[in-house]
Amino acid sequence: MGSPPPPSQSLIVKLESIAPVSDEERQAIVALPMTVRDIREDHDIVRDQDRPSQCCLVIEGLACRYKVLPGGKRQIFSFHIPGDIPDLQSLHLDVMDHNLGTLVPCRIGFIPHETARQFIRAHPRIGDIFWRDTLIDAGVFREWITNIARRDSYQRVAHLLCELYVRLRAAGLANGRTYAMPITQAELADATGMSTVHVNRSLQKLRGDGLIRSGKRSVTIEDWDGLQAAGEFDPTYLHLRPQALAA
Amino acid sequence: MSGLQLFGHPGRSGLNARFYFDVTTDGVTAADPDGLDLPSLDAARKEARTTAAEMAKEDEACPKDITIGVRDRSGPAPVATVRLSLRCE
Repeated sequence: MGSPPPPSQSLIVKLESIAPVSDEERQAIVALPMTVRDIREDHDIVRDQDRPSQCCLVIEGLACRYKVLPGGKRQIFSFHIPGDIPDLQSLHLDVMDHNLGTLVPCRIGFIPHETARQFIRAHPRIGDIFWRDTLIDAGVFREWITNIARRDSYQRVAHLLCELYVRLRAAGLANGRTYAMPITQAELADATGMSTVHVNRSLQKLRGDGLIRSGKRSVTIEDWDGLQAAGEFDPTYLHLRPQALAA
Repeated sequence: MSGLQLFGHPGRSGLNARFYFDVTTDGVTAADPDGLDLPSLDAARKEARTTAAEMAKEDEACPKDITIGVRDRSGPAPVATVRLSLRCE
């Protein structure tokens, strides 16, 4: 048995899911200096209006980006799995325009902006992949706007479950058709723009229709074709390479 | 109906009270065995109202009657009831 994987292993898997990475680039990513910290659940990593000096790599756990309205309503607009750098934009946009927080206990790698800039200058092809990743990020937002604004509750929840499955599978984090889903229904409601009770009813219907089965903190997809049809899910917007999509 | 335990616990705060939302649609009731933790009865009323409105918006059937009975841990009688009737003439 070898030593445990370096914290940047998740980043390598992520980048390889959207573009080829050479051996030399892989070694450079392994050597990328970062400060690793464990952060408790429901804790903000970066807040709206902050001026961060570093980027955050999700090494373990699940994080989300969100905004809170003055009246207290929250909209979650993305979930982030290991390998994601959810605040990559802070490298070029000085002020945060939203919050990034943990949903469960997370292990986060903090990469100083200056380190990231030097790294991208030394390995411009990885800079290209980062650019590609932020474009995909925008594609995911387009899909979420469409999902939340125009699909009904059953479709919205099905679509979200499909997206998480495909992304976790590409990251090597799904176990067959089962994956960890440590999200409360209230958080799912904040992500889909629905009431929590309505989310609950939609999940029951998905179960009743034989599309999913649920453990306490996991989901098993019983009928993948059926779930994709229910959510009108087409993974094109994730721009995964064929081998990552079929992983 | 198995309920809100699906993705872990229904709420994260121990300070909230547990409310149960029994939804009756056109005479068929789905009782809520697990409930949802919310800060107040007002918040529970709002949750019921939003749910009824969202359900009515999505269902193309007309007429439509949705009743949501909100219970708390004190007993089986609703502490609040939200009724939504849709009539198309």
